[in-house]
Amino acid sequence: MTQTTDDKSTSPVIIAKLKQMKANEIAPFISLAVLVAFFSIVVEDFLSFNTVTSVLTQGSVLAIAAVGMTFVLLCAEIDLSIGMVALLSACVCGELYERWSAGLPPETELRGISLVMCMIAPLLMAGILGLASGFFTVSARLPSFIITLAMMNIADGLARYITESQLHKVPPALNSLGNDAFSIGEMTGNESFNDLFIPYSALLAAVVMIVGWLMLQYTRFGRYIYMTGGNREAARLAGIRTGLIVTSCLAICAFTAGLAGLLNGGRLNGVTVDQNKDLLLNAVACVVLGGTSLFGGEGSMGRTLVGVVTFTVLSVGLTNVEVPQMENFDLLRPFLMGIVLLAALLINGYLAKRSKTT
Amino acid sequence: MTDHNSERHSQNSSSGGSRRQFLEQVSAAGGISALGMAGLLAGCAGKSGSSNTSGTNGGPKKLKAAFSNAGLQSSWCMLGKQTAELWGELLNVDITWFDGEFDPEKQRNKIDQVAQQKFDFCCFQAIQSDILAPPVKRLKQRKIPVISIDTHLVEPEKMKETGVWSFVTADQSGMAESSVQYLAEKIGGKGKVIHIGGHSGHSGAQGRAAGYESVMSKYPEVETVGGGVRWCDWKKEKARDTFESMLTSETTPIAGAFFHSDDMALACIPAVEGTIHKNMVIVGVDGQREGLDSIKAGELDATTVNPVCRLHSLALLIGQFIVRNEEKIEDLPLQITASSPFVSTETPSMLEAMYYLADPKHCLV
Repeated sequence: MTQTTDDKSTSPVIIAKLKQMKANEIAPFISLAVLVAFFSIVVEDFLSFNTVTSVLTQGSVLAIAAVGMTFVLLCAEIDLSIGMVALLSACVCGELYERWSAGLPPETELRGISLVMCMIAPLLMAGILGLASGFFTVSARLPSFIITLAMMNIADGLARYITESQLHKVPPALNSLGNDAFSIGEMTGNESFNDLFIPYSALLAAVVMIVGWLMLQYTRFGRYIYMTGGNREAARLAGIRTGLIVTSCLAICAFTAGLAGLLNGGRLNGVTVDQNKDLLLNAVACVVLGGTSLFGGEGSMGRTLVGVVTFTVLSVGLTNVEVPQMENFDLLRPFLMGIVLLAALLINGYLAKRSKTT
Repeated sequence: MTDHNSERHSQNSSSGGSRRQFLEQVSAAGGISALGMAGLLAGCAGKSGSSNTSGTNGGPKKLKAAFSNAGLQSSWCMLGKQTAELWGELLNVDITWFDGEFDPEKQRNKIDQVAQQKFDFCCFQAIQSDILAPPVKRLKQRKIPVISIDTHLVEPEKMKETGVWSFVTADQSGMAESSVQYLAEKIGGKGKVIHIGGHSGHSGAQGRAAGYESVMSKYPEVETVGGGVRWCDWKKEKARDTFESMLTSETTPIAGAFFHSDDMALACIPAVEGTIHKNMVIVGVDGQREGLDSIKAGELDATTVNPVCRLHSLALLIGQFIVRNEEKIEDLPLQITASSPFVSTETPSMLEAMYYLADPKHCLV
């Protein structure tokens, strides 16, 4: 009875909220809903806990990188170095882990402060690289596009030099973080949830997203980011130190890229220099798919979440689509990925334009 | 299983003289004989008395060679470089390396520069067929021999006219056949199998896919999940995502998986743990250090070695023979195929041997 009362009271609230939302805010949800509906029709058992588990597992690294990218895009900048910073971070972690483990007696695992430092040091280094990108962008008054392009090469070169292009193992804690999951069925004792696994990596991604959301929505720093991205000159005249905001956003972006790199290294059981090549473009695609503007000042962490889920659903769904009648259908998958992405972006763009004119 | 233990020996495509046969044996024996060959060379040089073979100290004259392979960010290519440098030192050949950086344009630019410089011979693994043809033609005009490694620089019928003296390669299809045959036998010739491919445009990956199809055509009860190969561009992330999606979409246990590279296989192995597919037989191709470690740990079931050291050392050996013995382009066979040892959890002696041969201190396989 109480439940029914609650439903009655919350439904109008949700409807009222939906009515308040502009078309461009609803568009990413429409894209996601259309994709889910489409794959539910063409892929057997797509609407299952297995798919949810796949989306959570495959979207985690991307989600973490996309959080940082959201900060940067919101203040109308871009960071081209995230893929290589992620790589360098994992390479440094692997190198430290192997170097420090080498000094231990056989069959002894690295632990304690050394193990923690293996993971903290690369993150700090990533943050410092981001700070450097921000500093040079602001002080040289050059576009972040160019500065982070240089940083991308610096990180790539360092990663290759440090690892000598060889595979490096990462701490088992990262392997566990990247690969392990807990069963909701086992946790709740409800057998119908036995197929639903929550990866630890998804929990980490959720924490990073929540922190990012809190920073953007409930802090002065967050408001300054929107103001800097919306109109930098006006923000500067209002007393905001826009240079500091840009530098901080690039540092946050590099830090999350470093974290994504460590998680990816853990997931793939080690790091080699061919990893994270697609991270940059995929992260930008996720953020833009969610409706965050490439020109700054407009967007949110919630939108990025929708973008990441949409992108990952698309990826998982396309992998499971089978057309036995078509030989070499597998070669068409990137084409289909491009077409669907293009369609989603065009719809988002159209609705955004419409909501501004109305 | 013993059939897999024995190495598949090389077959040259043209008639062979005694030295040619000797070269094949060098490759088949893991290049061990080549160590002695450095010594033999000195003797050979002394006998011929040619200007190309006499150094100031009485040994063979120091030669200068240009090498390039796909990209040093790949551990396979890096080991190729180490091999060329190690064996170059033994054979008194100075190696200058031009990293292809996995970028056809960058590799072309670098080889264009090589074509202007002074080298005694060149060995290239082209990222893409035909892209290096124009600078190789210039090298031919300057009478600098070029040896192609692993992938065709140009189509076989155009090799000699372009200036490619010989093509040193592994049997891509045969490597896949070794691993897939083992997989098919281990699963009893029936069940579902995942086939994760490299890059659809890469001749090596195409060969491996053909090898898979050739073996599996004999096992009608084997069903390839998804209807065929899933191309993952050699990318571990893509392979892992694809593999995981396929695992979760199957409600009955999958019997096995074949990967075109051990790297992709190793990235996917953790995804099997704790699932209904945990007993699947997983095999790959490449057989470098990481793959061997994984077999030793009982994670990867088998692999066939893609003999990077043999390919690079063989190209180097042939190049210095051409120069020091003043050989002619017609003397060389179009193709020399290096053998590829098969290693599995059931061949501990082969595994042990591979650790020695693949060690960067030896660079023998």
